[in-house]
This record gives sequence, structure tokens and C-alpha cells, in this order.
Amino acid sequence: MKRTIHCRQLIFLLLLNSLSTGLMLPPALIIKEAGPGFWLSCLMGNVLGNLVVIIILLLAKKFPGKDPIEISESIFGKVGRIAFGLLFTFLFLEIHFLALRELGEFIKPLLLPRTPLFFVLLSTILVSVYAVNSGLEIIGRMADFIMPIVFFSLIIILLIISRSAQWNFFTPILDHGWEGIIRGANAPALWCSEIFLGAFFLPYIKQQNKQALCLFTPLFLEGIISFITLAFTIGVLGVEMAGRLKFPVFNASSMGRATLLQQMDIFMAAIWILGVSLKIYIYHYVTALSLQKTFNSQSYKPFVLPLALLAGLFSYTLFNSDIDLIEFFKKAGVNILFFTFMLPLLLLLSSFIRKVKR
Amino acid sequence: MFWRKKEKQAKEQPVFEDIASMVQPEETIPKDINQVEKKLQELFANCTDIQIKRFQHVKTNQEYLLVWVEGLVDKQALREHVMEALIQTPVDKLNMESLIKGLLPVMDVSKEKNLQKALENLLIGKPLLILEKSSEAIVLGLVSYEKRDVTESQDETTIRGPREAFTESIQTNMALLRKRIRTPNYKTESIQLGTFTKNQIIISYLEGVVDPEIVTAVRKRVGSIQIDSILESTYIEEFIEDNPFSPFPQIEHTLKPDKVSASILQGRVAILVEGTPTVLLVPCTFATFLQPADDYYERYYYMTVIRILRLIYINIAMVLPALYISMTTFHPEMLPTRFLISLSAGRENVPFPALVEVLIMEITFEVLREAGLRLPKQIGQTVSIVGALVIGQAAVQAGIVSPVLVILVSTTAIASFAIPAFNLSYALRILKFPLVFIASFLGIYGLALGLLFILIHLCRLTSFGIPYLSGFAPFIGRDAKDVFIRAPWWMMNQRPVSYRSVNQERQPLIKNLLSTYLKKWREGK
Repeated sequence: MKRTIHCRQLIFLLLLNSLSTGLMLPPALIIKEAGPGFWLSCLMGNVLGNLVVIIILLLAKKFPGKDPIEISESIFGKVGRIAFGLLFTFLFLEIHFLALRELGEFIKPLLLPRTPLFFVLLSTILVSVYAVNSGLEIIGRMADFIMPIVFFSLIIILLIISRSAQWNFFTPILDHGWEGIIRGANAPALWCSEIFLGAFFLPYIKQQNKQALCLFTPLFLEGIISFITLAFTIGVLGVEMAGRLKFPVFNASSMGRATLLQQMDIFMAAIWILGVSLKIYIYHYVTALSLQKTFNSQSYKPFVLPLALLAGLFSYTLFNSDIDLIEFFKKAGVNILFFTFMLPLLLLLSSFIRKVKR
Repeated sequence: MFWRKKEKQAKEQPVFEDIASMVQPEETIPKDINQVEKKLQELFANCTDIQIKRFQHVKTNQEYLLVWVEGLVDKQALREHVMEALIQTPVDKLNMESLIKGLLPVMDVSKEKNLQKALENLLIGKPLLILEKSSEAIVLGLVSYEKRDVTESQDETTIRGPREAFTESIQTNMALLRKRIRTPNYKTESIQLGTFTKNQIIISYLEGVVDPEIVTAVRKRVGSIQIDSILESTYIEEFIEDNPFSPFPQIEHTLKPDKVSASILQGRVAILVEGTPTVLLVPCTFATFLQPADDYYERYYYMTVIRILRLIYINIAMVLPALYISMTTFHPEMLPTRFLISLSAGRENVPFPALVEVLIMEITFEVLREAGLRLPKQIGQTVSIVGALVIGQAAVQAGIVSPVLVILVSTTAIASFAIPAFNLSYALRILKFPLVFIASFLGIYGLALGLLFILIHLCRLTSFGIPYLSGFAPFIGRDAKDVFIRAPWWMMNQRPVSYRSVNQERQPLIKNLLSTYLKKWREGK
């Protein structure tokens, strides 16, 4: 089957991708570091994401119809392709197993406290293999289906919890100082720069003239949605409380009382499970894709199952608990930024320096 | 899938033919009339319904042989228009050509040299007339057999709209469709299938509207079937669907000619099968199964509400039991406290875990439904009484199941019965069970995983190359007016994009109409 994706589907995919991270573990980090100035942190992260998009678009303009690995081949030759390909594969594998563990850490204590983590991860992986084997078109369609569900659930939650929110937390903005805001920007920068993922799908968009739209729209929407959600979270919980909890957005949503269900957190859980599942599928897919491109293989399918097992293994063995995961997140930030920001920049600069035939 | 395999086989194996085993494919009809008679008597030994009649011209003693199948022939016409005409014909006109050109007062006359083809015609019901000293047979189109009248459909009932339903006779069915679509663009192609049953299959479509690739695909897939018999259109359906292993129906079927014509006008292909009133419609999407004919015959406000309700209750039919299990066994904190207390009070006497409880009730319900279907209508009442009293009330009083579960199972049942298409409702009811199991292992996360799995499967599915979920995913804005809601007819300017119709325009756009009126008004006409 030919690999294609609709512009709207790519926007949804990238948006769900960054939202599902942006509403899970990082909010606690941001609020803890930046306090009332959280939105400055988000803005800084978003600006960095936009920089990444500009770099990607410049590269795409210089090398139309090529993804970063193919671009690295045309600049540095075969060695460059394998080196860059492996680096990108490692990046995607890392985000993949982080997302897996994130989901596990969310589900285990809140939904399945007595089920071994192993089973949760295994079942997730199996479904992921099925999804990835189906191809990009199918993942795109899933995004089409899931996005409205996530969007409306989010709106319902926000409407319900808005009753108990207090709106006096915005000042003083610099309560935690500029240093805190910059440290808080670490997390948004991380998830915003994940927009780099889009570079791998640019050649497959059906409407090639809409490349810029496909990348800027999710970033913009993501910025707005995460700002609103964080504001509501702090409004409900207060800065102190929100900074201390593990999943502040989830806890804030469980404050909302509706008559139908005791707690509204089931909607939030649905959003996360859907969003993070899609994130896992897309990273799983792109890891396999980048391996295919690295080794110039016929198909990405042989890589799907081994990669799933590898990611499952890493996510299961690398961390002892959620504290490990959060510590890893703090350290991984710079690491991931290097991959998503510095490597494309390097490609762009070297393409200017070396005169390359297209 | 299977049609691809069949195609491969077709190249390697010689075609199996039943008559060919006794008659060579190239064999012609013998010139000597005695030989012909002998051959026919040999072939149709022990066939009491085959009548062979030999008679002579009054004056010339020229002999004729008339062969027909008893009960498939208009005997009166055969006697009055054929035999009498033959016996009384002036002698000089009696040859093959003159007989065919108009001597015989029969509309459908042709000659046939090949013995095998002649026999095929005979077995369809067309009598054969064989002349002395002629190596050709005259095929008389005097087929007439008992058929059911066109009656109201029992399975697909409507409150408003046409009530006619298809019958088993393919000629009647074709006429019912031609009565509705009066244009030469409406084509009906014929294919013969079934090596023993020799059914006529009609592929009908609207040229200039349908995507020609779909017609080609239908022809190819239907043509590659080599089964010995076709007694119902399901035989064909299972051969030509894209994914034969999916529980979801990928081909729609209906008994209503109005529905078939509406589908043909949308750019779809209908497959009519001789001997069965169910007509297949391809390609189809998931949304197709949620669009019964009634939707288009009632006013749009109410039907829009129903459409939205329908989207809710297809989920109830599939998910509710699994949700109950995950809520009671894994996440009781999600339920409101008071409800939880009454639920637990009801479950107090129940010795089984929620999974067993649900399985008992669901299986009982499925059996009850099946029993109600099999029993004659007069005894059917008994089943419902037994079901309501014994299974419902008594099971609760005996402490086998909790009262909430009875409500839940009946809600699920009603929701599944409210699905317009039976075959979709079967699929959802089957999928209910795996979901129940996975929910009992992994709670609400398991349910989510199961639903994601089904979603991936649905996204993968295609029907004649068209994405099964098209309308939902890929989301098509222009089709949303007929998927999520039912837009009024004056808004349905274009045919559904999903079916890839070549001619998208259904009616002139409203604004174009307005502008032409305005123009005329300004010009003072």
C-alpha cells in the first residue's frame, strides 16, 4: 500500500502526540519550577518548537520529498545516512519506551493497582504491533477518529471543573524568578520539539503545498490547549498543591463532581489512554520507519515486532518506580533536545556549507 | 481474498461442467431425428419431469420433436402457438428460417446448433423444437413457472414509503428496479454461476455515475466464483468481500427495491441473484448500515435525532456488559456512592463473580433470541413468557444474578435490536464477548485496549477498496451531512464522496439556483 497521510490527519496526530505528553507528567514539573509564571515557560517551549518547525521546513524546501535520513544521505553520503539514521532511531526508541512506561505508570496506580505492570505493557505492545503493521494510513485514520473524542472530553472536563476554580493565581508572575521559569521551560521545550516527528511524514502528505500548515497548526493549538488546561488545573488545586502532585491535571479533573459519575476523572483517563496509545503507535511506527530508511530496507514491517519487544524491555527494566521515571525525564530533556533541535540544525547548516546536488 | 485464490486456480484447472461429463462441449445436434430422440432419452433417463413429444405434420408427415421441462413451461402457449401452428402450416413454408422469422407466434425464438447449449436452455425452462433433417434446434422462450407475488417486506418494515419487496424471481426483481430508474444508463449485466444450479446473476449499476473501477472489480470477483451451487446471495457475499475473516459485514443486503435504487443512484453496484429475494449492495461503509430507508422518508429533524441516538446505542450494544464488569470488579469508586450501595446490596446474595454472572445472562439471552427465531409464531409467545418470568424475575429471586444485571442485559438486547442492519448487530453482539473477557482481566484499560483493537481493525477494513469507516475516519466533511445527521433533501446537493462516484452532482446547488432566478428576475422575465 502506498504510504500517504491527509494533512488534517497529520495535524491531529501531532497535536494528540504533544497533548498526551503535555498533560501527563510534565505539568507538575512546570508548575513546581515556574509557579504562576507557568505560561511564560509554555511560551518559551512553544517558541523553541516553532524554531524546530522552521528548520524542518527549510530542509524540506531544500530537499523536497525527502525525510531527514534521506537528506543526511544526500549531504554526507552512505555513512551519514547510517549514522544519522541510527541516532534518529535511538531518539524515537527512547521516546517510545518513555511513553510506554508513562502509560504504565499512569494506569497501574490509578486503574489497575493489583495487576503486574508487565501485563499492562505487554497488552499495550501487542495492540501497538497490530496498529503499526497496518500502516501510516490506518494510524492517520485513527487520529481522525480519536481527536474529536479527546477534544470534547476535554471541554466537558474543563466546563465541569471550572466551577471550583479560583482565578487569583496569575500574579506575581515572577514568583519563582526567571531562573525558575527557564527551568520550567525545560519540559514544554521537550514536548514542543517533538514536532520534529513531523519531518518524517512531510514527504507523505497528500497536499504537498500545505506542509507549513501541517506543522505550525498543531504547535499553535497545543500551546493554547495546554495553557488553558494548566490554568484550570492551578485554578482548582492552587500552585503549591499542583506542583506537588504526580498527575495534577488528572487530580484536578477528579475534583469535578457530576451527577452521572462520582468522579469525572474517567473522561481524563479516556483522553490519556487514547492519546498516549496513539503516541505509542506513531513512535513505534516512526522508529521502524527510520530503521527501514537507515538500512535501505524494502519494508518496515520486519522491524515492528523486535522494536516493540525492545521498547517493552527497556520500559520495564530501566525504571524501578515512577520517581525514577521523573528523574529520567529531567535528565532526558537535554538529550532529546539535542536530537530534535541540534541534529536538524546541523543538517541545515551543513547543507548550506556543502554544495549538494538535489 | 478468496476471489484472488480462485483466480489463480482457474488458470490451472480445467473448468468442471456437469453436462459436459455426458455431452462433449463441441458436440452438435445429430441430423437424424431418431438419433436425437435416443440421445435425449439416454441423457434424461429417470427424469420424469422431462417431456419428449414426437409429432407429425398433418399432410407431409414431416416429424418434429418437442422437449420441455414439466412445470417450467407455459403449456398453453406451447400447445396453441407452437404445436397447432406447426401441424397446420402450409407445406411450402416449412423450413428453419421461416419458422424463426415469424411463422411461430412466439416472441423469443432462436436456433442453437450446440447440443450442450441447447440442453442448458432446456433446463432453464425453454422448450426445444427439433425438426427432421435439421442439425439445429429451435429454442422457444416460453418459460413460465410458479412465483410468489410481490408482497410487503416482513423483515424491513417502514412506516412511510414504498412497501414492495423483492421476490425469488429475478425477472420480477429486475422489473421492480427498472420501474424506478428509467434511463438507458441503468445497466443490468448477466452472469451465469453455479455449475449445477446455473443461476443468473445480475450486476446492475448506473453508468456515468458509478466508478467504473468498482464495476470491473465486481465483474472480476463474481466471475471467478466456481462453486457448484448458489442458493442464496450469501454464497456470493462470502466470496467477494475484501476481508473474509472480519466479523463486520462488508456488503450490505436488502429486500427493498427502493433502497436498491437509491443505492444505485448513489453510485453503487447491486448484485441480484436468481432464486433469492436478498440483493447485495457494494461497496459499503460502516455508516451505510446505520442508514435505513426510513431515514430518508421521514422529515429530517426527527431522523437527525435518531441518527445521533443510533451512534450512542451501537456503543451500548457492544460495550455495556464489559463496562459493568470493569466498574464492579476494578473501579467501584467511579460510580456514585448511593448507586454503588444499591448495586452491592443487589449483588450480596449472588455467589458468582461478575464475569460469570454476565456470561450466564448474556448466553441465556442469545439462546432465547435464537429459540424465538426457530419456533413457529404461535409458540413464540411461550418463549417470551419463559424468558421474562423465569430468566428475569426468578433468576434474581433465586440469587443467581443481580437485578441490575437483568436491566443491563435487556438494555443491551434492546440496543442491539434497534440497529437497523441485522448483520452489523450480529457482529457487535459477537464482539461483546471478547470485550467482556478482556475487561475482566484488565478492567477499564482492557476495555479501552479492546476498543482500540476493534478501531484499528475497522480502520484497516475496506469494501471494494473503499475505507470501511469512511465518513468517520477518514473524516469527510461533505459526507457528514448523511453520516452524523440526516440533512434535508434540498441540502443533499452531491452524492456521497465515499463511493467515488464519477458524477458527484445530485441537484443544482441552491445558491446557483438562486442566482439564476435573480438573473431572470432582473432581466424581467
